[in-house]
Amino acid sequence: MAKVHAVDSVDLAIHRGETVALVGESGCGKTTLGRLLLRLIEPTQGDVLYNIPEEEYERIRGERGSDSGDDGHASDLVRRYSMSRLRRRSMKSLRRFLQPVFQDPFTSLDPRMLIKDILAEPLIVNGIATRQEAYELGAKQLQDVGLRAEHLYRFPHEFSGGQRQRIAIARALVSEPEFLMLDEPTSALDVSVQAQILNLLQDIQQKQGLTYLLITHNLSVVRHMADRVAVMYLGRIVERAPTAELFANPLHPYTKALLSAIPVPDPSRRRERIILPGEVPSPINPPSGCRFHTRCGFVLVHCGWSPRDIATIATHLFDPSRNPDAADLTKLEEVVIQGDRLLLEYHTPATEEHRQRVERLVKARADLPDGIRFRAIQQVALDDGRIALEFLHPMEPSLDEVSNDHFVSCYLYPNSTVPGRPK
Amino acid sequence: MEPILVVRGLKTEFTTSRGLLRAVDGVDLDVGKGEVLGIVGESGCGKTVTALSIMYLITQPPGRIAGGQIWFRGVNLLAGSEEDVRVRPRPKGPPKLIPSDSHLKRHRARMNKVRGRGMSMVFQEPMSSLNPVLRVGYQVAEVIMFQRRQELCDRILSHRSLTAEDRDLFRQAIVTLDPAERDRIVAGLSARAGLRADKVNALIDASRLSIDERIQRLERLAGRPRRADRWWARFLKRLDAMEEAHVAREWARLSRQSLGQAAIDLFDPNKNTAARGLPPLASVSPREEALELYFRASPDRGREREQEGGLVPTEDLRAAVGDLLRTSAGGPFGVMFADVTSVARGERAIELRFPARPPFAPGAELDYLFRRGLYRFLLLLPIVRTLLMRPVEEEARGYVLDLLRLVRIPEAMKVYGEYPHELSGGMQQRVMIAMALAGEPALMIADEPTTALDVTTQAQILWLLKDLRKRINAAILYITHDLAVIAELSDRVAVMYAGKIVEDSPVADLFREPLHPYTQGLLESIVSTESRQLEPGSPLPTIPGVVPDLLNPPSGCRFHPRCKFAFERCRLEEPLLLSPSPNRKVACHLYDKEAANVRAP
Repeated sequence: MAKVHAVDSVDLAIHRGETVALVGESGCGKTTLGRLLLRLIEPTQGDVLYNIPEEEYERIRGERGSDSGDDGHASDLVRRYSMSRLRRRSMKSLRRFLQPVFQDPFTSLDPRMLIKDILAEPLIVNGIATRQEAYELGAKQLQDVGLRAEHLYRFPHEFSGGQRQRIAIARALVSEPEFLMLDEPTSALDVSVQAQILNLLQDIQQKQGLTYLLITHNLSVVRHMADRVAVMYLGRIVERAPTAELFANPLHPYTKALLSAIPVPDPSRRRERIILPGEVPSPINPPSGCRFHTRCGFVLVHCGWSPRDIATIATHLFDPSRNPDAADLTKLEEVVIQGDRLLLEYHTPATEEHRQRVERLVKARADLPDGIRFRAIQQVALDDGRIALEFLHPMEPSLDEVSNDHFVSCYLYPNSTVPGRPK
Repeated sequence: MEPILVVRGLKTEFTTSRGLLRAVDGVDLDVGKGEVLGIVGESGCGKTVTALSIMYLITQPPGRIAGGQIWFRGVNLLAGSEEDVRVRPRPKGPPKLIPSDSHLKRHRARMNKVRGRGMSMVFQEPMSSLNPVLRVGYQVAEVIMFQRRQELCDRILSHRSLTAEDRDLFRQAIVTLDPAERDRIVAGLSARAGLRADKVNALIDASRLSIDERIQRLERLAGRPRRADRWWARFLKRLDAMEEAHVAREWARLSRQSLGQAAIDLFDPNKNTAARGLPPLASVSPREEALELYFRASPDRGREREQEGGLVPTEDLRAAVGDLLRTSAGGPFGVMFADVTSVARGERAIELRFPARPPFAPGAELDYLFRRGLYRFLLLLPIVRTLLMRPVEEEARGYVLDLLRLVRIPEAMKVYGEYPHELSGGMQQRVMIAMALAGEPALMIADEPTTALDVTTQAQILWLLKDLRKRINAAILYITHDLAVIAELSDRVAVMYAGKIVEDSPVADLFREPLHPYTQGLLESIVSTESRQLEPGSPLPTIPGVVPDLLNPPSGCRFHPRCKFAFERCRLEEPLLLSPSPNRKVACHLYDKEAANVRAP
């Protein structure tokens, strides 16, 4: 079985009363991250801390900065606020404060329950209220989300998509939570209904001082709702910034592409559009280095090119039966990836002339427009009768602050560290 | 712009346990040649049902196309459809629909000659429209085997031995480093010399052999097809041509019979301004060889005079009718009356004459029936089917690879042999688009093709559609609920609400100055990254309420319960789709000139 790191080394802080948006394409791990925060999934590694007082938060942040990577030994401070280390029972008492709203209102409501039962259930399960009180509170909550008391005695299928989403929101709110995870709350809805739901969510937040995590792929919704945005790609956060800053000044090439991909509802405006080539790579075996480098338009030599990026071309380029320029080499038997090296095995042991020929082929190829992956080859060496193409050791760019509260994980920005040669 | 598709008064209804639901209620649409027409509206407005009705893909029963005409390439696609499903009223509950199998079968057979080759459709959910147990390449090949059979047979018959040029191409394919170029050469070579692309590829990769040895092998691969294959190719080709001619004859006959309603519209001065000045039409009678038009002497005379009275046509009237037809060429009426060869003057009526039909040839008809019977018999046996159809399928392979490349699928060879689940959503949708393009259609209907996809993938698909549009010059009917996509792609927009078209405008005008209150509401409620004056965080304008239940639509204008400008007349009277300015149409009492005293929005 292969392991999928759906979410990989993510740091994210959400402050009380704010809306943080998580954006990215499907399969980038945003929903998984949302579920981890509610502990609907157990993390393999790492902690989710909840309800930290402001001054303690600064201390914890300092701790993270000094001994990052030492995940095995969490400090007492982390233990005190950690949600992931709570026992089942203590976790259950927290659940009422952390509530989800899911994407598809057609599948997230039990079709065999009346609306009044759906609304009362969180209160009864969490032991907040007696059955009678629960029904009353549920009825009140239903009116707060814009439905009427007569709707209590109906089944979910009798409602339209927008109404169902209102019911799902009412169910989440009835236990008076502090934090809502909104997982694509409007993607299944029509534009006009979407606007109604967004207005409702904002209203409630203002009245009750809620904290939202808004998970969506719709950047327009993010712009309207969120205070801060985190952009995810293949399980990593690649950029994090206040909303206005992110839209005015997107830094990461992926964010730029994502922003430019949104169609503008104005036929007179034509905008330059970045069309990303290819598809999101599989998270089972993500690209090394910066995970976006295979689709990036601004890619650099040290962004994480590795032997597998050239393996297929190599079987053509260095094969004398395919490439007339390689005619003085003998038959190419095998191409092997070994760590950061690509080994070419020929029918006869390679000689110095062969090595020079391969080096010339690499040089020629590197000068072509798409030759960046060949420029990442540091050295062509002889290794026990085989020819070894040695690459830079790929390193992932860290998520660094480039300006006030604007974090980006990309080698294009000077604050980020550039990896050197392998040690 | 000359329309390629003219829809008039389309009505589609469904019987449900709660009553009769009219999902599409009198839709008029024109799609010009090479034009992109967007249809927008909330879910449940009848957008998809309109598209399915045009393709005649409504499941009947419980569905039924209750009326209307769809003119496409000189024929009315709905001609004869009134016979397909009969309605029997019941004392209680909704009426019972009784399908007539023979009529439905013949109608579907006629539609099979238009679907794919004339118009094709891309569906919303690519994963549920591809067959999960068949390889992608085969699914596309199947479409080509069905829609371009004659071409494939021609190619089987034209197989030949290799030429020096072919050998050169093959050599190039071996030495090239660029996989894309290699794919291109192989596709060209296999198309020219009638070879299987995968076999050519296998030979190129056979690095154990020298280049000359590989060329020798290639020589052996090429060559004339087997005798049985040649016989089968000729048989199929002939049968296909006969079937096409048969359907075309049948269709022309039915379409002429359905021209009556079109003629009434043509001479209605309210619907066609060019007909002002002509005497009013009294009645129309469609005949086999001509459409007879009876006129009334003056508009004031009552209907009772029609029988004995009526206008005796003069030469001037004949000339005026001829002029009317000539001036309407290039417009929707031109499409409907394209078949009229001459205008003649009869004793009581003006006759629009159609070309004479070729005389009935019993020999040809028998030949056709025999061939069709033989074909069906042969295909009954799976083993025979496989043996006979395999060369045709192999021939289709080259076309499939070309199509997959046209929709910019990387590594088309590899994708050919994959199953749908191995592809991502974007790639699956590309395959669907490839299938829709397989018959080189003049019109492509795209029903929310990007709704299930990510933004970046959506951007790729939209870019692809724009690019394809330039290259294949097909008209596109694009259905979506996303106005931003419409702004990006289309030339003209039709806004649908509760089964009716409420506004039809060029895209720039619609976004600059939306006329119908519903369109205004839709545009205002868009959340955009390029926010207008709206502060982030301030409430968005919305349209109150929801789309009405079509089992029980509101009286008068169907939007009036949600409309902020609604007044008394909106509740009582249904607005017509009128043109307040050229090129634009809107169905709203606010723009009705006769009621100009009401407040404008």
